Amino acid sequence: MKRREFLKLFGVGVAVISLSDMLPRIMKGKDLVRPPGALVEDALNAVCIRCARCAQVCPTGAIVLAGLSDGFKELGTPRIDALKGPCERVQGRCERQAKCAEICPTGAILQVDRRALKMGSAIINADRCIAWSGGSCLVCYEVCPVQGAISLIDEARPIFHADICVGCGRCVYACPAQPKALSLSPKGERRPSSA
Amino acid sequence: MEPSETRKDKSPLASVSRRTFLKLLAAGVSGFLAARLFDFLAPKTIETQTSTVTATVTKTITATTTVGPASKSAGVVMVRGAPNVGPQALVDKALELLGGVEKLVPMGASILVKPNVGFYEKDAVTAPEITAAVIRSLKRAKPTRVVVGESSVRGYDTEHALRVTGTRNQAEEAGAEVRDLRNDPAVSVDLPKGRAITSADVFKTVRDSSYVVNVSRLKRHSATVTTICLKNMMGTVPDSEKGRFHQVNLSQCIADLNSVIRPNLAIVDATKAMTKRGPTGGTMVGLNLVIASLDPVAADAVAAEELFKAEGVSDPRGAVSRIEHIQKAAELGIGVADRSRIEVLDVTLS
Repeated sequence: MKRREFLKLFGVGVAVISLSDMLPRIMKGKDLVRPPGALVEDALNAVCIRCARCAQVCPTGAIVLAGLSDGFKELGTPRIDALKGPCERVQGRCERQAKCAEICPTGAILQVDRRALKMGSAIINADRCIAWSGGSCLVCYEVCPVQGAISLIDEARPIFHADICVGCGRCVYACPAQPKALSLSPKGERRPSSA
Repeated sequence: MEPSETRKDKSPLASVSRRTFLKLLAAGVSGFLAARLFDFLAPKTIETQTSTVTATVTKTITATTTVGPASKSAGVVMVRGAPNVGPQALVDKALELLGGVEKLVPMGASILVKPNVGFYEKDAVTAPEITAAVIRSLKRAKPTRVVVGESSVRGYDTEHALRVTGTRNQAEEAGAEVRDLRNDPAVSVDLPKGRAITSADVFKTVRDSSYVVNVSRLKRHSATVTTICLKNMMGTVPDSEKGRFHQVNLSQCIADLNSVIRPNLAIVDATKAMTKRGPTGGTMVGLNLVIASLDPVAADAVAAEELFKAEGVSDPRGAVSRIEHIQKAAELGIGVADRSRIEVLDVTLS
């Protein structure tokens, strides 16, 4: 076998193996945190026309478009990436109206009551947390706009209450630990089923 | 190989050509000048300042507000107002008691006013009326410029915070330029006295200002017990530094930062104080009080004591002595935290 042929075969082999590894994930999709007022998953994926306007108007840049690794059905639909910014529907520039819902041309994202908002919840990995490791931090507690979502043990270590947290991602964005001690999950989300 | 080996044997100077020598000389001279220039620019270099603190009614106290390791005492003024006394009257009286803006602020100064506008919540920020009152007072000293600069807490948009709290409008009306410092380039400054960090990135506007006026709100803080003037300086550094400070040692980093970016004038807005919890969501207590000093550490110590008193803490002074960043700032010689060495002039306007 020639060197060139061998390399070709090798390349194809690598591609096949990595695809077969990714394929189930692509077909199944990841658990994504969606913009405030996004329809339930199946409806969102059906109604969203992937126009990206929601991502363009999001004042914090929190809305990004799902990539292939987020799932085939989800590709191009909006998701919240708290590392890019927090969702300001609960507090900030979208308090009056969610700009993403306002601009959505198909009703894939609806204007829902701010007080009933539940996009998911923040999850703490205490091993990475500065405060849980004995340092002085509590940035999450400082920036949280929802009273009661984070409480403190001994005024020093944060505890997260998933039932109260609305999943705006403000704490995740601000967490100074590297790697981040906080992540956002759609756990507990409430979403409208249709207009 | 051989030539270089023979060169090694010669004296180092013998191998320097005329051109290299001149280059080295120029580098040396410019380095020296740069170092001198930096010293000169530093508004923060700790020096002895003497101010006359005048109690209008009864007596005149000369408070030597010396800072630095040799510091002996500091002067702090507290101006309380009856409910009908407005922010401008409180600020004017406080600055008058410190000696008057014309004496405090060098002629032609380039002033940075640093309010705390870290959040969108009105209670959590310096009252815009106080910020505006400070600007109006400072304008009397005929500075070349007054810039209000801030970068909010990470994840909070500074421009939105400036607008929604009314700070931008009121500060502009009072005649200041208002800047979101996040739009500024960051410059590195050395912190020769720093114990946790030896350098920090700060926003250019901050470094380029010759006179820094810190206008903080009196609040509790979850991680640092209180946030007053010293902690307020966190708004002069980019988000990456804010994050690093939390990772390294927050209290020491706050002290280290203030050792170089030291406010020349510290004013505490205690018209309302945030008690019990903070920096957001605490219980507001109306004090209608403004505290001012040329010593930011002393201002913090006195203001923190007032905060604890408002909360009904049994030993407010003892509580102040346990606030790490204030004590560490005193250890670095930034100012005086020892309450027995702080002369307080407490007046009430009616």
